[in-house]
Amino acid sequence: MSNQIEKKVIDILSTILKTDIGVDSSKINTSSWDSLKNIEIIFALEDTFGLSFSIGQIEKMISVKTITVEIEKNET
Amino acid sequence: MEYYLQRHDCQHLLFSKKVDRLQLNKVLLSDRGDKRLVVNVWRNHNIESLLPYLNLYSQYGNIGIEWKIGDYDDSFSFIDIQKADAEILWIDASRLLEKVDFDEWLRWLASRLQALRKLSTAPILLATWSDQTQKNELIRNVCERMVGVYFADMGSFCDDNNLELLDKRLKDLTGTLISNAAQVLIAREMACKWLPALILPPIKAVAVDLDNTLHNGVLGEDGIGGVILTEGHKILQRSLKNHQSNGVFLALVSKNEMSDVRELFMRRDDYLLRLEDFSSVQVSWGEKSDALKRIAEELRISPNSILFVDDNPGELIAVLQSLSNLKTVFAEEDAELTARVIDYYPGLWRWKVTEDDLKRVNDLKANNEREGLASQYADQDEYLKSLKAQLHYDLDSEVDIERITALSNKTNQFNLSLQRYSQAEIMRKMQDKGSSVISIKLSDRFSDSGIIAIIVAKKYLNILVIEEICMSCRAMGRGLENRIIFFAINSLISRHECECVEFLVKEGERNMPALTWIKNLQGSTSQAGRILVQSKNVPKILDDGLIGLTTSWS
Repeated sequence: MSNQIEKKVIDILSTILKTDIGVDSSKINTSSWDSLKNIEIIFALEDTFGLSFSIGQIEKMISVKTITVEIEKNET
Repeated sequence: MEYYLQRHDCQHLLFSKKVDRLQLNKVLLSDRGDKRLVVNVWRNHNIESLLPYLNLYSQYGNIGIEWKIGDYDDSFSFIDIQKADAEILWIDASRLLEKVDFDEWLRWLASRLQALRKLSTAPILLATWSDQTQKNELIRNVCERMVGVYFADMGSFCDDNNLELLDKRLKDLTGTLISNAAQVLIAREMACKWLPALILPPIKAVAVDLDNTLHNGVLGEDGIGGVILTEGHKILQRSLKNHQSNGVFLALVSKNEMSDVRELFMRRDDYLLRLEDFSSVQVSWGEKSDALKRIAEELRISPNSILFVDDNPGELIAVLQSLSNLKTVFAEEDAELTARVIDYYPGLWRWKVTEDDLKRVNDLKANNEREGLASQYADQDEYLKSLKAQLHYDLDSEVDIERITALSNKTNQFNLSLQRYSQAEIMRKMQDKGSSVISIKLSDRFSDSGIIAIIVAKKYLNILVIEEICMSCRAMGRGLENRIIFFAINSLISRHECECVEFLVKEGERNMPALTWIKNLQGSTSQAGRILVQSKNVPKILDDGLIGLTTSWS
């Protein structure tokens, strides 16, 4: 389950950031991941997974790993 | 041609009912932008989140927009304003309404719009919302009282589309409250409808293919009973009929036998469109580019203002090789999607359908009757007499400002100096004591054509400078051109007691009729782009009674 979510997250991030994204990618090590793109990512994740994140969650979603964790929390 | 193939490939994503934001990020569309425009954005909340989508939809319409986005500014002071093709006010009033009541905010809004109007003659688009329909109406009233100001009512737009406009979570995250779903659809509305209706020449005709476009199947193979009208095709036909009732010509372009096509429209009661709905019918086995040229000629419009819809990409590309500025849409298997793509084609939607727009389709039919009448008379004066034409001249008629501006921007052939005035520029001329804006209405026994010509003039010392003459193609061909123009000019000469008339002239791609007309006047070239004629040499029109022409002024 976690792997499937992670794969989808990587796909979404690659599409929006238009660069190669891996499991360790984050805002810090990906130059195109600015605040404007960040909200674009949140919108795409909400559309894809049918979720609505709280502001607290959004603030934590700064890497593939933390995004995956927050999605899993919502799904469970 | 790669660009057109990309457009056809992505239109199902761009114009689907529910747009998938992530999928839009995957769309590849070259920025061809044949038409480059500058748009100033004055704002107090984020518009940058919409920019990728505004650009994508503009690229679909072959428009390249340079966005000049100002700093966040609640005071809207329009500092460092530069010339632009349009001004957008992108306002979130919620923060301002925490400090003042709505009425006071409305007065402030009106003052800001007036301030911008003084600084810019470009059309102004106010994009905002309120929390009540009644308040939206008050905002609209403020805009309608001003020249060239339009209200993009984002609240009503979202209500109509069952969308939540606001997402309060976003305030601190993005700098705007506009929700995810609303952002993309507002961007589409802005780039395909609201902005193009202000700054692009309008689409005047939709030319549609028949087989696999207006129905499923091939008439020549499946037969009249065999071609299928799906629900989607009914929606498409209804939508085309709506466009026609808003003054857009419909034309049919099909490779078929004419007898089959005629029988199809006669026998298929379930078709919403009738053959008579098409102002031009081109059914033959010849090239479609030739058929489209004939349509342009018949409708007296430029091929640039025709939107051609066909299910065959090869056919679309072949047509573009011959008519490179033609607008095209690929007809999808899902005809409801085709209807939506057409609806959103930049330049087709209008802010307001004027009475003159509505007269256009009937006027063309009347023209065919006029031609029939002309063939019965050997003598031109007798023919003119039989038309029972009436001309009516208005000076500085502010109520007609939309049509006057539209005529200045739409007329390509009889357009003497290609000034292309904005509404604000026309208003300034009407209010300037030395200037005159004459609008001329024409009717005859076959139709009321409404305003068919405008003349813009200004007096300098003892010279009457004719800054612009535009005449609609709808008025031409009745042998009245000289009478229409000279009656107005002679009236201005008498009014201002001018000794000379100077015509401003600019050569364009398609204004040969106007250039030929001025050449026949035999004036002298005073300087480049200016032709001087002594007032006494301007032809006098004295024989109106002989041709039964009634002329009046107000």
